[in-house]
Formats: sequence, structure tokens, C-alpha cells
Amino acid sequence: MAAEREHTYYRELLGAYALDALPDDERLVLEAHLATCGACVAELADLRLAVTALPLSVEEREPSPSFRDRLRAAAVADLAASSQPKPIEPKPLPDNVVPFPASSAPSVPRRQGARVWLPWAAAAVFLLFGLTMFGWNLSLRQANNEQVIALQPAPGVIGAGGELIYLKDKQVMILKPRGLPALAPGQVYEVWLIQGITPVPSGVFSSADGQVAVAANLGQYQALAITIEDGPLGNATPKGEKVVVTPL
Amino acid sequence: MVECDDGDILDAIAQNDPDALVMLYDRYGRIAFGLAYRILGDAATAEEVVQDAFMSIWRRADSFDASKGNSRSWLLSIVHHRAIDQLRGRFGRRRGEVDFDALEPILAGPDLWSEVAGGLRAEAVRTALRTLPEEQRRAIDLAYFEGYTQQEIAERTGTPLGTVKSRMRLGLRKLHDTLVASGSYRIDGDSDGR
Repeated sequence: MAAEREHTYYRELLGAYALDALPDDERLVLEAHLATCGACVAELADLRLAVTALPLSVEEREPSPSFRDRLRAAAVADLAASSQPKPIEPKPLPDNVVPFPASSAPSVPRRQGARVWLPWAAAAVFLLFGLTMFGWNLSLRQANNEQVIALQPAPGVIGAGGELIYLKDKQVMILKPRGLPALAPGQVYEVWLIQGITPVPSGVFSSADGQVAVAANLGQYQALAITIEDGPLGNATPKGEKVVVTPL
Repeated sequence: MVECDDGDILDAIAQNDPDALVMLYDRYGRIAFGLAYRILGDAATAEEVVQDAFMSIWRRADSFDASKGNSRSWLLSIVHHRAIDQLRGRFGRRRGEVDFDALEPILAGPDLWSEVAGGLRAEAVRTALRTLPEEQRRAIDLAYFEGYTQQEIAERTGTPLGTVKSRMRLGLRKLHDTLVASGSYRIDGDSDGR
């Protein structure tokens, strides 16, 4: 009789177990019982099958239109990251590349005073001119399919950098920013591709040293920028501080 | 891959074909997003969860034995697990990482991945759920879609803990039996892969 009562007790836990609603202590003792009770194992199999049905009761919904492309881009970026034999801090660098110094520069607080907001195109042109003056090369080509572009800090931002790897056959840009100014709670980094003078929102991310993929044809854009915007979605037009502006 | 089944798609994903991942998304993305949105109520977070789930499959497709299960259930379980983690503040891992150690007991259950679950249709499930007594359905909803433990459900509903346990078990039992009786589970011999 004691064994029957014990079995009844454990059997009563099976629903909560199948729904992952048991606390750890009860879960562990039930699992010990399952190792010795075929009847409970059989019932659990039925209950789990019922749990498998539950997600099908929800209404299907369509994610945002860009989601499909972003998913594909993420897979391509993952593939590229896992197959890249060398991270893009090659030593020695090819002759046509000057190391980008920002990654080793100490990070300083962001400028807090009033900022002058240049038009996007002007900022890109300014940077291109400035970088040329300093003799910095902005890009190199690896193999035949891959273009690497150094990310440049926006005016007044020190320490931001990293690189953009463009996979031409996939039309995917992989951004590997480094040293971006820290985010305040609730903020995100937002990527913009600048077409003429129009910034096109192209994704958000929150890790300052993370990796983000953007599905886009690089040839259609004149510059890339990263700003700090309100999360989690960012903004439709740039409102926050520019931290990266890079001619393409 | 025009007339391919899920096994073919997973094989292609395991061969690092991004288009195969997109194909899987075209097949199950709407139900995956619907599930994540049902749990989280926020489109942006739901998209993150769904992307994480697909990327988990992208990275783990080679470990999935399609002959023993169906990829829809696999995907939806990952989405569910991830969304509940997010909802209940158990999001200690970095984005993009699914704790497969925690999932392992679920993933290992051949019953869960049995092909019979592959034949389930949404309307049949909804119909079966409607046959449950309201209090049983509510207990299951609170546990599955909101991630509450049995104790939390007891406190939230002012119901004795033992009653909550019974409602969850009896509700799932009845749901299972109703789906079986309606022929909603596919039995051996019918394996169109979806």
C-alpha cells in the first residue's frame, strides 16, 4: 500500500513536470522515481506529447519584412566567422593598408557638450578628405570576394573603430565594431546605410564589441554610420549621437 | 530543393547552406514568431528569440536525427524555452546562445520528437483545448505560456497546490486523449515530413 501511495504521489507530479513547472527538488525526486517506474514513464510520454501540441494553438504571425533577410545574413555572418582563418588584424598588413590606431587608443568619455551635427553626406566627405590627408587607406581586398573596410570614428569620438567585411557574392556586410562608447541603459547602437543624403536604418545591436550582419549591396550606399539610439528598436531616423561614420 | 522534406532541409543546413535555413524559416517562421509573440507580447523581443532559435538550429542541425523526430517540434521547443527564459528573467546567457544542457532532457525524449507529433494541425489542437475544463486549461496556460511554476500558479489563482498539480496532469491527459481520439496524431506509415 505504501508503494501504491508513493506511486500516486509521483504520478500527480507528472503534469507539472511535463510543463517544466516543478521546483528543482521535486523534479529531482520525480526523476529518481521515473528511473524505476515504467507506468509513470509511459504516462509522461503521453503528457509530453500533449505539451508538444500546445504551441500549435497560437495564431501564426508574420515577423517584420526584413526579418527573413536578417536571418539569412546572420547565417552567412556565422559561416564567415567560423570559416575565417584569420581575424582581421593581420600582421603584417598589406602595403596598401595603414593600421587603424583607434583600437589601441584609450577610450575617453564621450563629448558631452553641444554637438555640431553635420549633414550625413558632408560628414562622410569630411572624413574621406581627412583620412586621405592622414594617408589612411580605408579598405583592402581579401581574396576576390571579400572587401574589408576600416570603421572610422565619428568626429569627436575617440576610440571607436573596427571593421566592415563585405561578402560580395552574398551581398552581406559583417560589422565588427570595436571600442564603441558605452551605452546607457535602454540604448542600442543603430546601423545606418547612407544613400545620397538619406540614412537608411539597417539594424540595431547592443554589444560594443559584438558582430552584426547587414544584408545590403554595398555599391548602393555612399557611407555607413552607427549612432546611439533609444532601444530596443532604435529610431526610424537618426536622433542620437554618431559614433561611427565611414565612407563606402 | 523544390519538393524537399524537413530532413532534406536539415541536411542542407548541416552542410552550411544559408538558403536552407531560410527555407526552414519560410516553412515554420510564422508559427515560431506567433509562439514567441504569444509568450512575450513584444514583436522586437520575439524576433530576437526566433532568430536565436533558428541560429541554434543552424549551428546544431548536424546533431539532429530527422528520422527520430520532426524539426517543427524541435524548433518550437527551442523558441518556447528561450521565450520563457526571456519572460521570466532567466536570460543569463548571451544572446544567440541556447542552453542545450538545460534542454537536453527535453531534446533527448524520443516521445517528444516522435513523428506522430508532426501530423498535428493547429485547428485540431485548438478544438481539443476547448474541450478542457476552464481551470485545467488555465493552469496549463499559466505554466506553458507564462512560465509560472506550480507554486506560483497556486498563489496566483488562490488554488491549493495539490489541485494545481492535478489540473495540469488531468488537462494534459485529456488533451492527449482527445487528439488521439480525433486521429490528429500521425501514426506509423504516414511520413510526409511535416
